[in-house]
Amino acid sequence: MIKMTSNEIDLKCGKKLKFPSMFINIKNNMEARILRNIITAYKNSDGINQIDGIYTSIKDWNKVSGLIKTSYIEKPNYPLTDRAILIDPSLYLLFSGFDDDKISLTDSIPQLEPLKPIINEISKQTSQRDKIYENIDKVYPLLDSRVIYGFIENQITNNADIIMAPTTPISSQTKVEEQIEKNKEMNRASKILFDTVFSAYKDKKDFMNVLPLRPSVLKTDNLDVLKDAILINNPDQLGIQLLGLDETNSNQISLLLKLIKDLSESNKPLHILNVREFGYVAFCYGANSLVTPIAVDPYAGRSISDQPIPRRGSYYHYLDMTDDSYEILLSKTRPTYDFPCHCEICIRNKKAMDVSESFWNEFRRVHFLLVKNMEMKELRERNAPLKDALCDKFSRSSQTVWIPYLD
Amino acid sequence: MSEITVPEVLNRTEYLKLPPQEREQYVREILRQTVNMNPNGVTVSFITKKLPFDARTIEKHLSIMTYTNEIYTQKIGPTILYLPNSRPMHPVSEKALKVDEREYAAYLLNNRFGEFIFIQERKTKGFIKDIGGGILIPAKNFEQFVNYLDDTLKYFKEFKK
Repeated sequence: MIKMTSNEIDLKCGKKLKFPSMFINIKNNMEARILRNIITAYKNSDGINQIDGIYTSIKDWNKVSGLIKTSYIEKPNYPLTDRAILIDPSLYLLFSGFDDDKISLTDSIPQLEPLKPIINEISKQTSQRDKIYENIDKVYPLLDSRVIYGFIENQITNNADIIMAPTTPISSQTKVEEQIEKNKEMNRASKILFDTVFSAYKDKKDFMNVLPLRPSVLKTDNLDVLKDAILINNPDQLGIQLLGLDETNSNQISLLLKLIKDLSESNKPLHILNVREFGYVAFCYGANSLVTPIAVDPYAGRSISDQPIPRRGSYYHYLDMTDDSYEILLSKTRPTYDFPCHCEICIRNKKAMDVSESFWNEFRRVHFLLVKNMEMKELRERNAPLKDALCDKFSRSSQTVWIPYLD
Repeated sequence: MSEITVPEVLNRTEYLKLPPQEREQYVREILRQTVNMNPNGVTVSFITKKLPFDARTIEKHLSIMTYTNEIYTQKIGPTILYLPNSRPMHPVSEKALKVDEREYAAYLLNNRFGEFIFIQERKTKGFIKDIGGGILIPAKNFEQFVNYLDDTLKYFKEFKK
């Protein structure tokens, strides 16, 4: 039984999560290094004290683990592992990821080895529809208890604080029933294995059932089966992994928020994985935490256009809550070009052109983390109800699209 | 006993795919949960109808659990009823004694045979936590038992000198 006090969740591992809480998704060595350095390099601000957890994919764990686990020289015995650690099986990548993601994932779990040729073969299909059909016919039967065992073993060995069920995504409107059924079966089998063959950890680690979901599949008449799929077998925690979100589709957003609200009534901590501003809205519907990537749009695919990728990535505008390209940032800050932000790194650097091109991408990530920390602090220390605080924040930004949903 | 309650289980094909040691642990844990869910007892034939394990496997694991005192048996005619010891168990102390990978915990146990102090050994090996064994000491004789252990300790120290 999870103990949820008014604004804290006690995890079985002994750590605590505050409500609302934020996890940061670290994807590579550079991001891990930045997160780690903030603790000691930005001592004048609150740093990342309001960030409760670190989330990474199993495929990326080896690249980031060293920096997370190692103690600081300045602060002996203080590794980043004082935060809750989530190591996501990211099984959805086998179905919708890029080829290199699939390779990294299959290399991380030995039990996925027999799937490699099939996954490769399916990747060559050009039609998305054929890929989905072949995945169901050829990959689903191979995702058995051995594979689930491998994913859980990996998370436990790497000392994740909450064990996440490796589950298949729900992403196709035409095959939604089969996808929900497989997702439910994997959540069910994962919890059974965790309670039995990993019995030494049953009382030491929480277990999370996961619903990797493309919100476009949501319909009024499938909300109940989706709830059944994620609530099966009484997990300790719940996670909805968003595989895309159309901010302009109000029907889709409303259904997603209804699902979140219904799940929050189960009184189990609910995590929304892979979100940005929508995560704040989800807090108003009972979600307890959000997982956000660092300074990127969670749903942006890789560029396939002929246009070169800008060397200076986008800057998160604290007031507008937008990801601005370098050029747009310059146009917005004319004529002084002062950063529109009072985080420690922006105060130190003052103007966009003062930041060298080689440092820019590190700079904007540090800025993003410090700002997200400030936003969480604002939300936690607010004097008004959460809905009013967010309404106020969104109305001063370019994220007014969310205001009608604040409940 | 018309119906028994069983936990959620993997189907037979799925559980047979587990590595051998994990498969054994899986069956043991499912049977442990099954007996604990049925305080009025279970028989092998009832379990066979509800769980995808064969009778010999079930009997093997139940006899191990009987040996470690997690469960006890009652013979009714030709039928053996397996009953959980866990339900009437109450921890005597909040703290368990940890010795390397083993853990010893004391419980006060009330079953149909009377009141006992139950000292249970739990082992953690890899990912698995299992019951290593357990002894039942009648509660009324527990002080006598502790005195015996005290004496044993004295003799042991003398012996080591």
